[in-house]
Amino acid sequence: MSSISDLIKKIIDGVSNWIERCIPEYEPNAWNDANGIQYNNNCYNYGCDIQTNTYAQPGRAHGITLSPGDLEDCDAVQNGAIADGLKPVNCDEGCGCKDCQHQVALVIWPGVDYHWYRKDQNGKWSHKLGGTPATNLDNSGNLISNPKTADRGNYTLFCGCFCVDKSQVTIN
Amino acid sequence: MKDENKDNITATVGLFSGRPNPKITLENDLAAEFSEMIHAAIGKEAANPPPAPKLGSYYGFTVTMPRNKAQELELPQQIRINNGVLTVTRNKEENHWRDVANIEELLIKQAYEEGLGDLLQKFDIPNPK
Repeated sequence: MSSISDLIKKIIDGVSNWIERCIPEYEPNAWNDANGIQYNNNCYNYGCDIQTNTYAQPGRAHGITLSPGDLEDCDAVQNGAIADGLKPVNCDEGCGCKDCQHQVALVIWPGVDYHWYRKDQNGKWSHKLGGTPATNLDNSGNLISNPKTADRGNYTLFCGCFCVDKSQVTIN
Repeated sequence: MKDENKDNITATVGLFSGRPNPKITLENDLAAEFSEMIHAAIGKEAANPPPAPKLGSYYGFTVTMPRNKAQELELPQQIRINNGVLTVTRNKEENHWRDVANIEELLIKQAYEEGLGDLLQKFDIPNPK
């Protein structure tokens, strides 16, 4: 009996360790220093949970340059993110636990800008609007359970979800 | 577009989440005017922090300058101005002052002068003229 309970405990510990290691916690203080970290890392940095201090752009680490004309639809930003190593995934299915990765979502203000959300350990989503502080609230001041239904202002185009394995992703 | 100069005061317009934000440059007379206005505002009237930024909305200017320029003008190296509030961070502590000198208006006008009008209008920021 004790070997079964030991086994169960090992499985639970293993899953807990995986979650801690692979899914970011919502820790805004790590990003909101009102100085270099906050101002030099944008939504893409935050979504990927990678601080480059370069205000990272999808695809730039792999020779892709986005221009305003690329923002009429999702394609260019998606392609840039994929070049960086992000993997498209069904939002409802999520990233699973086979690999060490967390889930992010891309939205677009057509013709103007893009924005990323990320799913945290607590199951809610958070984001970082450019050089402003990271937050877990949407434009209506509500916690974000689903970026598809969150108040996103003019970022009306929901492009989809991706998995970020930080050991396989390079952004700049 | 003005040439980048290491001695310039640069103001970044807070608009985007993903894309790099546009910048404007304050030089010569404009830099001097800006400096006077900052001195007229900082320390005069304490204010509450500006409201939390919203996705898709303008979120003010971040003004930066090289250390030697800041020393020359006796200004902080970085000042944020948003919604009528100046914010200066010293030793990780933020201090907020009311923009009694209308510095934000000056910066918006300059942004229009530098060709950012169409973009600012997308964010409902009119030209103060």
